[in-house]
Formats: sequence, structure tokens, C-alpha cells
Amino acid sequence: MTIRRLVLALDDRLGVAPILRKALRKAFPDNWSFMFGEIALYCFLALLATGIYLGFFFDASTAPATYRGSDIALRGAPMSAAFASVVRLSLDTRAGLLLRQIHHWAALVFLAAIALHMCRIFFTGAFRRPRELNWVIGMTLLVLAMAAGFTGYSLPDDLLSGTGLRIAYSVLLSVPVVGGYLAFLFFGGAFPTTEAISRLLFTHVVILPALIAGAIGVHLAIIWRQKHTQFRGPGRTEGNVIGSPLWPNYAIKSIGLGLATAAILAGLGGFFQINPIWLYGPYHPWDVSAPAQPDWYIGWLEGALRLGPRWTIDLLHHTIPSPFFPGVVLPCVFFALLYLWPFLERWVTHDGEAHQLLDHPSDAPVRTAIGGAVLTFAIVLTLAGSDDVQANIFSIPVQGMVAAYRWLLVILPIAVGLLSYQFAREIRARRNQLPAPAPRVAISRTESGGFKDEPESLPSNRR
Amino acid sequence: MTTKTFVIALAFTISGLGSALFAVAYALHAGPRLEGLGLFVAFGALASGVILWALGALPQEQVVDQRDEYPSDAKTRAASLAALEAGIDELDRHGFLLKFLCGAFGALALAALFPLRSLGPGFGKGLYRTKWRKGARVVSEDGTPVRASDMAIGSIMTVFPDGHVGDASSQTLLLRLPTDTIQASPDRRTWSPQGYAAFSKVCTHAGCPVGLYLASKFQLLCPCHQSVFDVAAEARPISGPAARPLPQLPLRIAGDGYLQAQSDYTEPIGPGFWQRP
Amino acid sequence: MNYAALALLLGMLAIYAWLVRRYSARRERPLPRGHAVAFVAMLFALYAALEPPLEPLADTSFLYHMAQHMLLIYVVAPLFLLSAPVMVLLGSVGIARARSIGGLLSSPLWRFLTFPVFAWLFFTVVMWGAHFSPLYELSLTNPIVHLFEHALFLGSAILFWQAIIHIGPVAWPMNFPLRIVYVFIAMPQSAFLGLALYQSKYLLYPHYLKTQGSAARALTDQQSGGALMWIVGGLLLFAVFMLVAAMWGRHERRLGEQFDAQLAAGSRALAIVGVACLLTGFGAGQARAATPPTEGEELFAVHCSSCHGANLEGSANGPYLRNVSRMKVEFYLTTGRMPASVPGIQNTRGSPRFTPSQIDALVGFVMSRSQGSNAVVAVDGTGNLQRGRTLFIANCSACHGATGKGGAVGYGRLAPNLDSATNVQVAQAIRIGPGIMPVFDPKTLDDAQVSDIVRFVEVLRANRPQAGGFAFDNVGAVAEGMVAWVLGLGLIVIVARVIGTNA
Repeated sequence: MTIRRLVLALDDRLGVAPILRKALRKAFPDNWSFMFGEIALYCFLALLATGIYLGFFFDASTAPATYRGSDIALRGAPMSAAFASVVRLSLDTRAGLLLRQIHHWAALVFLAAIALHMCRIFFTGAFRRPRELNWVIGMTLLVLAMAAGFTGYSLPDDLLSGTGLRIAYSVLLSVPVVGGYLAFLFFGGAFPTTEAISRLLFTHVVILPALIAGAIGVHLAIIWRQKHTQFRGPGRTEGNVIGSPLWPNYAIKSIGLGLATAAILAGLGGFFQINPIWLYGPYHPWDVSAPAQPDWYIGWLEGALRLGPRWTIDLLHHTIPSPFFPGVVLPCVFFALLYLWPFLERWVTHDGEAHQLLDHPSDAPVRTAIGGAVLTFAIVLTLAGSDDVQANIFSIPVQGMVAAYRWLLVILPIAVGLLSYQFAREIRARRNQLPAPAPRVAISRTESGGFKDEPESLPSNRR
Repeated sequence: MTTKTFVIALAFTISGLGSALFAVAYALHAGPRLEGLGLFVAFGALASGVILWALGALPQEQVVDQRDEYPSDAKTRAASLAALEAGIDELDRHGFLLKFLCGAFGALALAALFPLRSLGPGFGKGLYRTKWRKGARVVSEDGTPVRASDMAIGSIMTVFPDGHVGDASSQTLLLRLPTDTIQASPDRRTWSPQGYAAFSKVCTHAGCPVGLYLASKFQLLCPCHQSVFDVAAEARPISGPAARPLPQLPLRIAGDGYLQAQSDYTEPIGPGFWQRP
Repeated sequence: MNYAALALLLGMLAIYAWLVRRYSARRERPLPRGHAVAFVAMLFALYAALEPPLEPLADTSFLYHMAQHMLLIYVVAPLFLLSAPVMVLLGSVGIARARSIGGLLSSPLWRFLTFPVFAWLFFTVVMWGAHFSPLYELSLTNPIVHLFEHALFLGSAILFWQAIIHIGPVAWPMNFPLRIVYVFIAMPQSAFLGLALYQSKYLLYPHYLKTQGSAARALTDQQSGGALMWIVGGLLLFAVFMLVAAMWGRHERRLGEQFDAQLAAGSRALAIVGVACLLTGFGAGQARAATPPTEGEELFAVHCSSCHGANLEGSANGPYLRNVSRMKVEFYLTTGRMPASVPGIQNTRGSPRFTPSQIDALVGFVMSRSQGSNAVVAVDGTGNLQRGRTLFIANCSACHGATGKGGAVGYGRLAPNLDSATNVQVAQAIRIGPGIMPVFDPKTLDDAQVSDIVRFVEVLRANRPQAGGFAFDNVGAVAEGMVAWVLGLGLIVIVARVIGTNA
């Protein structure tokens, strides 16, 4: 009743009825692989909700503090106010640890969902005209999410994240000509500085969330306007879109997915410990703990630094140090390639048509091969980023692992690329060879317990 | 009530119980496990109920939407372009004004860059020098001066210049090596008295503290990217991504038996940068 | 009846029986009967799985084929492991051959294959891959592919089960909570596969269309097979789950009893060490008198002299011991690093091979011949926890990690996990620098500081709060990333799969 009156009141003032009528019956294709982006969205909401709570307890200061909480071993240790506040939040604030852990798990799943979503978009060709713009916005969201993750990971000023921040500073410093100035501007001087934590906090809780929220808004508005892509299927054409109506089916399903995401994140946060900073202790520039790993989405950069060549270039009293190549050039090339992919593909294939029907990965063997190769490259780098942990588990010399990963980094992407090319062509050829696709038959049980088969009706009904 | 609706109602009830569990766990200081279980049950049961509702109790209909035509029809396109161009023509009548406008905006944008300068100090000597000076006493992490008789061969210690304990750029590893293993170049003959050798603890690759000492091999290993330095041979890198040796601090033993620096490091410590000679 | 198959099975039985006889002869005690029973049962199950009446039926029906596979996976593979093949083999051959087999078992490839995460994933990939790829259809028409398919199922199942059936030497011993998790996460995997087969509206394997006659009958058959995997497989895994849980309970109870016994024994050992220290303070002669040299000498001759020489002079396989310190001997013996089972491999911690009194005898004997220091390190449990933490982070965490879980330090060397080290062993290691570890002598870290570190490690081992829940043994970000992908995103994607359609 109330809702009805609200709608009427809004229509009186804004004339929303026609828009609403169209919106509520809008068709949403409900293929399961179209929901990865939604998962990322729900993770972002979980991050906002938990992050707001955490913000009330965090003290972004490097001033010396005295810890008097329940971890006896840390009492009296020299530490920053930032670190002390996170330990207090974790061990001496009710529900503090739960929400901190949910926040961190949500960040990891957020980036995983974005990565999976991008793979789906890439391998089905959903980035093609008219959706190049949304691909670019999606890439930007990936970069922003990585930055948000890294800045958040660095906030507690613990031994592990402090080491990571030190590496980030060194990588920034390695940029030719402007590196030193950039590093000093970002960090407010030579590392370690007193400004770093408060700047990271501002970036993490204001700048990046605002940018991400804005980009998500544009991303969704464009999807709304362009309508979702769909896989080929009976009755599906370039000119239409078939799916569940937004209201009530798709909305209820999506809410269900959001609640399930929340449940799984809550379960992870409650039962699985993540980033126990009180065990790592406060950061001091001369202390270190091994093995030291970043969160998974920074792993490929860590791996690149580990596998990086020992080049250092000396030019007339100037130096280009070795981290520049794996730490700056490689990610720039990598992201540039991803950003420009829709345009590169159009330039090569001369395919300027708009596509509303998705490809099967086998429809475009070259794209699938390149995607597989680049993905393999990133996975090998990520694995190389934890080579010391693997060395520990498998009792293999770290140096041998580095050599092996350097080779794998070259061989494996090429092999995967060639294989997936062959595979895709094979599947495509087989599909084309089939004389005529057999009519799809839906089989159902009859009352008497037997089966009856009938041609599948269009559009297809589930269950 | 059908079985379906009964199950969904049950799920929502369980969800309520989960919320209650969370509240009770919070009130009793029960810790993250029970709190998390409460939230997990609350959200999970709610999700199950909602999904069962959507899949089982709602009609499974499919709707067909027609897509809008892109681009818009030629007439509308032409009309909107014409409107745009008319405005540009109008502005173009005073073309020089347009140029001035752009110039003014450009100047504003440039001026807005200036405050960025306040974010950090100038790129100064911070990267070139440490706090080590000629005659600076070598002290341990708790500020105790190190005497030449203090360390056994094969042991290792993190040291700082006296008065600057905890200075990030001055952190130094003091090792005592068997004197016959040290291979020093002619200009460094006097730098390691009685087998005491001191190297910057900041890795020349990405700046991590080079903390792992493989005593029986006289090698230092950086835990971040696994660069290995041979301390018997002036800490030259023998494996991993580091390209430069760890800078060595020249040491001497003072008359009173304490270790001292002969001077600051003779090159900038830590990772490289453009201005590094 | 297929006589060739029967002969093969009888041959296997004969080989096993022969190995068991040799084992019993060498070990001077018979193999527990359960292992042999398991082997015979395994042979029966293998026969039932691969011979009539099941085999011909399996060619024509998916249901029976599934039953065949379930027998291989859930009965034959675990029974094979329960018959303790590795233990029997190792025990029945000579030392030299056992060493070469031991070398194979500790090779990187074998360690990789038997790593539980790999074994689990491999099993899962085989199960899903075999059912949803052309392999299955091909195996129905080509007998060689069929053989390969069965070998793949059996091999991956043996890898899967070896992670939780620990008999004989195991590369990756998992504790009970981990084993429970291992079985637990296999349950949905198997159930989903069964469900996927059960629910499929389409005939997955056209071969059965021919053998079953009609599409409807082939589909019923396919659904029955799926249901078999879903329900029977689920029940079997659940039974294993309950079994592991029950074994855990029994294990905990035994640990409690052992702990009580150790408490009693520990106070006795402490008294002996005290006496020994007192005596060595007065001179080696009295120490020799206190511990009868014959026992130590005898133990040394049997267990140590082959590498270290009868007179401690050392050999190519083991170092000179005439200047070894008391702490070193005690450390290597009490941590089970000596006697080394396979020379040349980094000695890792194991359970001590000798009783406390035997160790005491050995130490007494070695020290009676060694010029090394007789000093002992005093650990009185009075260390300062906060100072200990600071010192640990400054001196130890670079290799052993801030959580004391150990790590790789290059060249295949490991800084060990400190979880199972005793206080005395921690103090001894600091002083003697075993392996590649640096020495921390009293001038670098005085006795009080060593006490502080020992106190901190004690707390690290026992009481440091794992407040946040299951901690993956503190592996850190790598484990967290895997959990985020598999448990986090994986589960959510399964929900999405349930909600969404699959066009």
C-alpha cells in the first residue's frame, strides 16, 4: 500500500510511470556467467558497509603509542598509533575483528569477481561495439579496485604491509627523470614518513571509493541503456533480448545472490583468520619477516619483481634501476594492451559492426588464444610471486624455482595460446561439420513414471 | 500452506534466529566465530529463502525486449549535429575570443598544479647520505656500543650510528667473518678490521631489509625478492634481481676497543633512482 | 571366467605374501594382520569390479559402469592403501635399497604428486574431466582407452586417499582437522557431479543409445548412474568423514594419556639432566662413572659409527665429532635429526629415535671422547615476553617468520617451523647455530635475552591468539588468496549457477 502511494506521489511530481512500466518489465538474460559483475557489486557494498564501521576505530597517525590491550606479547612494544588502533579493534573491540576480517575477505573476493567478470567479457567478445566504452570503464574499475586494495592493506602499519609499502616506494623511485619527485610527493619525503598513513587513509576511504562508486554508476547506466548481451539461442537475434523480467523474477534472484554473497563473506570473516597483524607486529624499517607476500591481486607484480632481469642502465651519470622494467613498464604495457584491446581487435579484423549476440570462445580462435596466453602469463607471474612459499612446502631451492618460472613465463603462454587456438578451431570446425543441429528435445516424466519427449518450446522455460 | 511455502517460511525464521545469535554473541563477548556464525546463518538462510522463492514459487516467465536502434535515424542525427554546429558558428564569429577562453582555462589548470608542490619536500640529499659520519660509534638496536671483542665469528647483528638508533637509511648489518674468507679489493683492505664487515641492510633492488643470513655460506638473502649477496666478496649479488652490491661501511677499531665508522657510505644506499650517479 | 585376470590377481597375492614374509623376518615382528586382510579384500573388490558379472553389464549400462567406478574409487583404492604397500616394501628390502626407495619418496616429483592440495584437485579434475569430455565416450568403444580410464580413476583415487590414510612414511602428514576439511570439501564436489549427471536433460554418452535401445531408457539409465554417485558416493564420503572424526577423538584421548605419561617422565628426565650437569661440572671422569659407558658406546657403535666413525673421527657421510659440544649432541639427538635416515638430505625434525635415558647415555659417551664445550644452557621459564618478541623479530623472524612457521632460505634449505621445538631445543639452537643458521653467542645475546626469546617462542607455540579463526597454519597471503578464490568466489559462483540458466 505504502509503495503504491509512493509511486503515485512520485508520478504526480516527476511523471515516472512510463519509465517505471518499461523498467519493471525489462528483460534480463539470466545466464549464470552474466552474474560475476553483480557479485563484484555486492562485494563492493559489503566493503562500504564494513569499511564505514572500521573507519570509526582507525587512528591514522604514526605517532608513538602505547598498547595496553589483551595481547600480552605486544604490550610495551614501540609502535605507531595506527598499528595500536588496529590491534585494539581486532582483539579488544567486540565484533571488530569479525568486521575487519569480512572487509578483508570481501576485498579479495571483490577483485577475484572482477577478474572473473573480465574473463567472461573478454572470451565471449562482449566488449565489441557498441560496448567499448564500458570495457574501458570496467578496466578503470579494475585498476581502482587494485589501488583500493593495496592502500587498505597498507593502512595497519604492520610489519608485512610496511615492507610492501617500502617496495612500492622503491618502484616509484625507479621511474626515470621524475621518479624521485613523484615518490617524494606521494610519500611526503624519503621513506618512511609520518604523512604516509594519513594520506593512504584519505585515498582509501574518500578518493578511491568515490571514484569506484561513480564508475560503477556509469557502468550500470550504460548497461541499462544498451541492454545486456545474450548468447545465441532459439529466438535470440541481434535485434532483441530475451530474459527474465526485472520485476519480480530477476530482482528477487539478484537480491538472493547479494544475500548469499553477504552470507559467504560473513562465514569467511567469522571462521577464517585473515591478515593477523598482531602476530606480525608493528613495522620498523629494519625488521622483516619471511615469507612475505602481498594479497593475491598484487601477486603478479611481486612475481614480476622477483623474476625481473638484473638490468640496471647507466646513462651519463644517471641510472635506470632494475625494478623499473618489471615494476613499471610491464604493468603499463599490460594495462595498455587490455585498455586498447577492443580497438586493436577492430583494427585487425575490420569488424566495425555492432554485436549484441555473444561469441562462443571457439568462434574467435585468435582472440581466445591471445586471451589464454595473457591470462597464463599473469598466472605464472602470480605463482612466481609466492615461489618462496612453494619452495618451503615442496623443499625445492628458491633459486631453481626462479629459473624455472622465468622459462615458464615464456613457454607456457605460447603453449597455452597455441593449444587453445587449435582447440577452438577444432571445436568450431566440428560444429560446422554437423549436417544440421538435431532438434533439441525436452524430456519430462509422465504421471505413469515413464518419459515423454517433446520439441523444446520457445522461448525456453526453465523447469 | 504448501511444502514450498513452508520451507521458505522456515528459512526466514532460521534467518531471524541467526540474527538473534549474532546479537547474543555480541552481548556475551563471544568472539568472531559465534558472531560470524550468527551473520552467516542470518544472511545464508535469508538468501536460501529468497532464492527458493524466486525459483520455486514465482512464475518462470521469459520476456522479449526489442533493442533500440543505434545509431539514431539520420534525420534526428542531422538535426542535432546542425544545432551543435550552429552554436559553434555563433562562437566562431569571435574566433579570437575562443582562443583567449582556452588560454585562460589552460592558465587556470597550470596554476592549479602549483599547490601539489606542497605535498612533499624537494628532492634533496635524503637519498644520498645517511647518518654515518667519520668516527660514529657502532651501536646495537638497544643503543649499546659494540666492542671489537664482542662478537663470535659467524654471528650477525643489526647496528646503527650512535645517536641515530632506528634511522631507516642508516640501518647496517654487522657481521664477523673469518678473516681468511674476506676477498677485499685494494681500496677496501682496511674496511673490515678483525673480520668485522658492515653492509647497508637496505636491499639495492627494492629496499627491503636484507635479513636472512646463511652463516655457513657467507650469504645474505633478501626475503622480498630472493636476491642473494656474497658477503665474503664485498656483498656482490650472485642471484636474484638485485643488480648492485650492498654498499659497504668502512669500519675501524678505535683505541678504546669500540667499533667506529671511517666515514659515511661512499655511495648512495638502497634502491637506484634516476639522479643516482 | 577370465583365467588371465585370475592369474594376475593370484600373482599379486603371491608377491605381497612373499614381501610380508621378508618383512616379518627382517623386522622380527609380524605385520599386523589387518594389512594382509585389506590386501586380500582389495583383490576381491578388484575382481568384482573388473570381471563378470559386472564388466559385461558395464559395457551396456551407465549405471553399472558407475558402480564399477565407485568400486574402484571407494573400495579398491582405500583398501590398497590400507594394505600398507610402501611400508611392506620398505621393510622387506635391504638398507641400501630402502634408501634408494626413500630417495624416490622424498623426490620433488613424488612430493608434488602427493601434496594434498594437488591430490584433491587432481582427483576432482579427473572425475569431472572424465565425465564431461570425449574421454568417456571414447573409452566405451576403445578397450585401450578404457584401460587407461580405469587406471586414471584408480591412480587419482589412490592419490586422493593417501592424503588421509597414513600408514608407513608419508610426505605430507595432515593433522585431523585438516583431514576432516579434506574429506568435507570432497563431499559437495562428488554430490554436485552426481547431481549434474542426474539432472542432465541430454544424453551425455551416445554409446548407450545403442545399447539401451531408446533415448528414454538411456536417459533413465544415465540418471540412475548420476543418482548412484550422488547418493551412495555421498553416503560413503560421509561415513569416511565420521570415521575420521571418530579417529580424531580417539587420537586426542591418547594424546592426553601420553601427555600425562610425559609429565611423569619429564620430571624424571629433568632430574637426570640435573645430575649430569652437576657431575660434568666436576669433570668428565665422574660423568663416565655415572652413566655406564657400555650402553652409550654400544648405541654409538650401532647407530652412529657408520657415518661418524667408531672413534668419532668422521667419514665422508658424517662430520668429525671430537670437538662437538654437549648442546650440539643433545640438540641433534633430541630433535630426531640424528641418526639421519638418508645421509645427504637436510636433516629435519622427527621424533627422537632413543629414549631419554639412551640419549643421556649417548651424550655421556660422546662427551667422554670430545674436547668440545660441556656448557649447558639454562632455561628457567622466567623470560620477559615483550622483550622476547622484540628480540625474536630483530634476530629470528627474517628466516623463521614472525609467526615462527619457518620458511625457505634458498638452496633448498629450510628454516624449520618452531611449533614442535622444546624450550631447551630453542635455546640450544640459538647457541649452536645448527645447519646454516648463524651462531648467537653469549656476547651477542646474553642468557637473559635467550630466556626472553624462549619465553616468546613458547607463547608463539601455545597461546598466541589465533583470534580470527582457522589460520591455515599461518601460511599468510597465499593461503588467503586461494581461500578467497575457492571458498569465497567459488561458493558464490555456485549460487549464481543455481540461480541462473545455462544457455
